[in-house]
Amino acid sequence: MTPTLVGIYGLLGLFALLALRMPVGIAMAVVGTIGFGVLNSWPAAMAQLGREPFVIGSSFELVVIPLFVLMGNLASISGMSRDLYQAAYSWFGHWRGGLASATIAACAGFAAVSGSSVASAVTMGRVALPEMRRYKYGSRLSTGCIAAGGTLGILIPPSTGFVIYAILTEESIGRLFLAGILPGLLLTALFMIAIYIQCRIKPELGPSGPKTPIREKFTALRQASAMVVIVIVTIGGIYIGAFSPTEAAGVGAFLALLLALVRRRVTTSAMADVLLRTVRTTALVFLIIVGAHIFSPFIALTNIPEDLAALLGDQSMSRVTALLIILLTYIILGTFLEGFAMLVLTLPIVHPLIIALGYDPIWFGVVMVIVLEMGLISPPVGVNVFVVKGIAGDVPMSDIFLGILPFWFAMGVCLLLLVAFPQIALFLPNTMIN
Amino acid sequence: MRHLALVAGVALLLLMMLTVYAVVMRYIFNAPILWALDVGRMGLVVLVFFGLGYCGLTGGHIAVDFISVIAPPRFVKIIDVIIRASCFVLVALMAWFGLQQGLDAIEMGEGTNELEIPLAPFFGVLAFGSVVYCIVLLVQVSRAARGEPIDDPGES
Repeated sequence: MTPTLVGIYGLLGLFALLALRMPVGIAMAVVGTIGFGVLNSWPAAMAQLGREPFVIGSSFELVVIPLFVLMGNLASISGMSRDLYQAAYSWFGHWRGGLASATIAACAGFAAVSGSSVASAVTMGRVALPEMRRYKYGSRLSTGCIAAGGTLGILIPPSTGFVIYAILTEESIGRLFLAGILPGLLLTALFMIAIYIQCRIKPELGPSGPKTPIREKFTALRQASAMVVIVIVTIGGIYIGAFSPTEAAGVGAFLALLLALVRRRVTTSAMADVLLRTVRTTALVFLIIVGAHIFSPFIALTNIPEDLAALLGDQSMSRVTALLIILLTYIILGTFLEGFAMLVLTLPIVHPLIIALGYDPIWFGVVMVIVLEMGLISPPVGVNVFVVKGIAGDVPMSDIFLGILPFWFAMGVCLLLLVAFPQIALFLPNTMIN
Repeated sequence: MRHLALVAGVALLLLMMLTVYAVVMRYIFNAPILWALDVGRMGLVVLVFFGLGYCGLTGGHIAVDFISVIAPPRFVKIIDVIIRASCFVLVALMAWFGLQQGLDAIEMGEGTNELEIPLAPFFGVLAFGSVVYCIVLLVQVSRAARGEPIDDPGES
């Protein structure tokens, strides 16, 4: 058997195991170990299985993951989401579809302290959905904007998506975080435009709320300022080179804890809940990273990345066409694969391909995350859709998916803009101070 | 299981305090503490591997779920038993070879860079956490065989 053939069997086996509901990290470790044993040697494969989990589990730069997850979970209990929503509402509420726009803006704000899309959708959904109901917003618009807004969690730093991308491709976490900021703001604006257009066509979807007096607008902003301080310290600290991402995460989590303490939100049970949730997320992310690290050496042995690159080269395809094919494949994969799973499964093959095509890997990280976001809200298995369904039980699934559609197209527009103007992503990381 | 995860949670809080302490020492007292890295790394091992079983028990490990939508329940039951049993084999191997690596670490006297904290006990933590996850997987195999829901509801 040629290495390529073993690789293809390996990939097929992997997809079979995944389809049969084996956890992603374990499935990758199984296939990686067996494949490595076949192509290299069994003792080496077993040594790798014993060593790799420890190497990953004791890697200092990965401390960033639990700390940022902790920060987001602490931010959830600190009542910050309500402040953010109040502030956003007082500024945007009187627009057409203003509550929906305020939801998007508050999601973007919450995304700046949380690295998880699901957490962002849950936290903001609980606050925003009852409000939109009260003002008789269409159920499609209100559920759609929460599901879509929540996805900003992995684009606006901190982001677990970027951390995993960085670990798998050995890129800088800090640079990826900074690269996510401007595209994140762009996507926020595009979401708001999508809401405005919908409400322009059908005004009954999102009636405008009362105007807030200017004094109250600033009071609301001041209420939300605690969060702004945390964001400036953490992300600003990374930008000016004062903190490593791990330090920023530690300081951010600490500030979020202080805020929750000051507001008397910390009870024993709330704290246990925050810790258990963080531990659970940490374990699942690490198991996937371990799996990926056992899986990628096997893929590297198979020649599949080289074969694919050669194939794309043979077709004398322009690099833009090649990129569009890759993106299209991802959008299709994203409809039925879980986002992180897709990232770890494909990067060992796609990352070398992207480098060979001459694209910037940092920029591609941002593009990848936006494609992941599209997957999070597209049928049949968009995770955020289930999250929203969990909060808005009476809205039928089909309505939520229809409500999401305009936002899905907004993401497509964002993607095209990024392909046309890579500077949107690369400007901040290229000006950061090392 | 929950208790072990809470231990991991305490390790997490200590990691946070350690990071803050290191930053404060570096910026305010101009005395960077080099050992923070060593302690942080070993703390992470405790956090990750003590959390593994709890994550498994509460159905946290990400899987792709469409077989249960398209296949008859009897078939799903058999598949669940086989898949969980295979997971058990892999995690057991991981624990076993992790332990082997730990024994090697004792022999070689491996330790962390600054403080020379011996690595061996932390391979032990890895093996222990993996064994706990193995037990969880066995429980899930028996649940699947009896047609009960596999996962406990988690905190969320």
